[in-house]
Amino acid sequence: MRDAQTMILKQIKDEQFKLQKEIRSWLGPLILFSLIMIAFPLSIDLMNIGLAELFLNIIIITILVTNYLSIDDVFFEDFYDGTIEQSLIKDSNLYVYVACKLIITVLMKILPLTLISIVFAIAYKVNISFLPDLCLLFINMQIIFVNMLFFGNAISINKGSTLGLILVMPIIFPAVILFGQALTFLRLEIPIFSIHFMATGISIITCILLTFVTAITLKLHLE
Amino acid sequence: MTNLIDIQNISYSINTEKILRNVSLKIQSKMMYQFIGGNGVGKTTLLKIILEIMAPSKGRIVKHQSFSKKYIGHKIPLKNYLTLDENLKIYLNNFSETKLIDTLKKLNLYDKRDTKFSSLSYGQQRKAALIPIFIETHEMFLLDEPFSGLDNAHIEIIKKEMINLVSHGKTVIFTSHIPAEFECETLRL
Amino acid sequence: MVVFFAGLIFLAVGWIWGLFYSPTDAEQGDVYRIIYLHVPTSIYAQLIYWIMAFWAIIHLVWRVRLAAYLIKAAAYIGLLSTFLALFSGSIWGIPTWGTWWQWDARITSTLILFLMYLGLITLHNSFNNFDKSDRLMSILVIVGTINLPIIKKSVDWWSTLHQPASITLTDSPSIDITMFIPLMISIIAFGFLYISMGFLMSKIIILTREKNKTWIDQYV
Repeated sequence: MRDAQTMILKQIKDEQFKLQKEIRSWLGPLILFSLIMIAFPLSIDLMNIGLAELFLNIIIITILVTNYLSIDDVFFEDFYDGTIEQSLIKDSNLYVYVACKLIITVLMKILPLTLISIVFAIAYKVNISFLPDLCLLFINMQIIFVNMLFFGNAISINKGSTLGLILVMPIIFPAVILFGQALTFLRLEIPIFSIHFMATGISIITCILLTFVTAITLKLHLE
Repeated sequence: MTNLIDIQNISYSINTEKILRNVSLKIQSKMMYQFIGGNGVGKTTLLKIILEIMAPSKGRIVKHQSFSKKYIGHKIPLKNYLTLDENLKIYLNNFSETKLIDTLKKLNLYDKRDTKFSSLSYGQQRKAALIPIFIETHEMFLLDEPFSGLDNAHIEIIKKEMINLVSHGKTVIFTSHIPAEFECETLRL
Repeated sequence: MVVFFAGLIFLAVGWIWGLFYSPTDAEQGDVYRIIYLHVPTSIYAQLIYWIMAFWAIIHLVWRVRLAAYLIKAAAYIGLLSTFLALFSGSIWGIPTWGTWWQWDARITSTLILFLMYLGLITLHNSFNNFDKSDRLMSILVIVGTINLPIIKKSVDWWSTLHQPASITLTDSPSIDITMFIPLMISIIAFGFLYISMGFLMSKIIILTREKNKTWIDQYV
């Protein structure tokens, strides 16, 4: 048990180290997101629509696109250089591998992106009282998106991440709808505690189920 | 010598193209095995079936006991954007620092520790990938064309280490195009 | 062939009855008659996906290769059915809503279903190793199936918050019996037609995939 724990911790540390060194992989999308958020108001006639309104209208899709870019080919390199193969031989399954990748993605990609989104929310003059709700919504939303995108990447690992995105978009749509509605309720100052509850539940279930499915899919590619 | 794995009548095909036909072999400890054959005959496939990464289309693998194994294949699971040293810290498990330094010196890689992996030559990268056979402890080592990309001097070093492993009770299975001058059981595919 | 002709006969009966002999609807006039195309295709668009899910489970659990061939065949038919449903729905929309597209719950869910079928076929066709792509397709079918009710519920929820749900004839329990019977006949007709198409499609897939086997030489 102790041994397994140490192994898992080592794996998480290794993933974190690798991602840290591959700067373009985690910093690039954050910069792109910032550039998009800066560019948006410039492209719109703000007379009819306020900044705060604009933010709430664009943020979900902007975050989705950024998530897609930031985990573009997340498994690609590991697949082609044999890292996934080595993980499979060592652990005889890929659950730990996928889970470690997910944990690091949450810590190093999702949380920073959430932080930057909140900074932009303030810049776009969104009501300060919305910020805690937005923070929680963004985290849950991204966890769901990232899990789906992991699955998409896994399915189309040797065909490019675009195919993967096309395949999982229909499955992502309900999440987009859910969080869109949450933002609408927020706008109308309706309390969204129940949505937070549901979203957190969904993101936990998604993590567990899709880690499992993604691991099976990757294993299938190695066969 | 104990029986480790029984390969019983393994066949493998992709899309009705037969790659392996009725292969049988008993794998025991303290033995060296060589799979020989030209390109595309299924040497790598057989290794992967033994490792249980791939499932055979027909036949089965019987494992008599559980043991730890190390596979070093064609691919080099080391990252181009990390230095050799950083890569080895991730790639290697349970090793002693002194043994690592000795091995790096033996393989002429000691000076390259802080070089970016992408800057190393193919031969140097292959040598780095083979380091586990010197310092990790496993019951079985499966090596896919271990000599490819190496010069004669380093081929001798690797061969010596493989013989050393067998003399210490380990099993070594390797694939090759051409027969190596070893005392080993050869399977022609 | 028998099934195909049975389907054609049923379709002829259903459509002639529905198009010429059923009474004109009080609200929609004669335009409602598109339901004899729209409703069967919509029902089968959804039903076929559930059938594919069933076969996907059989394929993954028992490694039955035939199930994978059937899934592939069904995917093409499902795609066709969904396309017809969307197309006929758009045509229906022009006189009733004044527009060929509405972001209403049912149409949006059907569009998403169309994308899912398209995705499955694209995925399967993009691999050289068919055994692998069969299994990937099955996994995707199952993940998609779990998602189908979620898609429906969420799109429904989304649409009801934006506009009142559009009234369709199949919703109202008081559909006239003279309209209902030709509708049922049309539904059965499409069933037969799809089954016969399914047989044909499966045959083509089996012959293509098993072309190296000896029994094919004897058969062809």
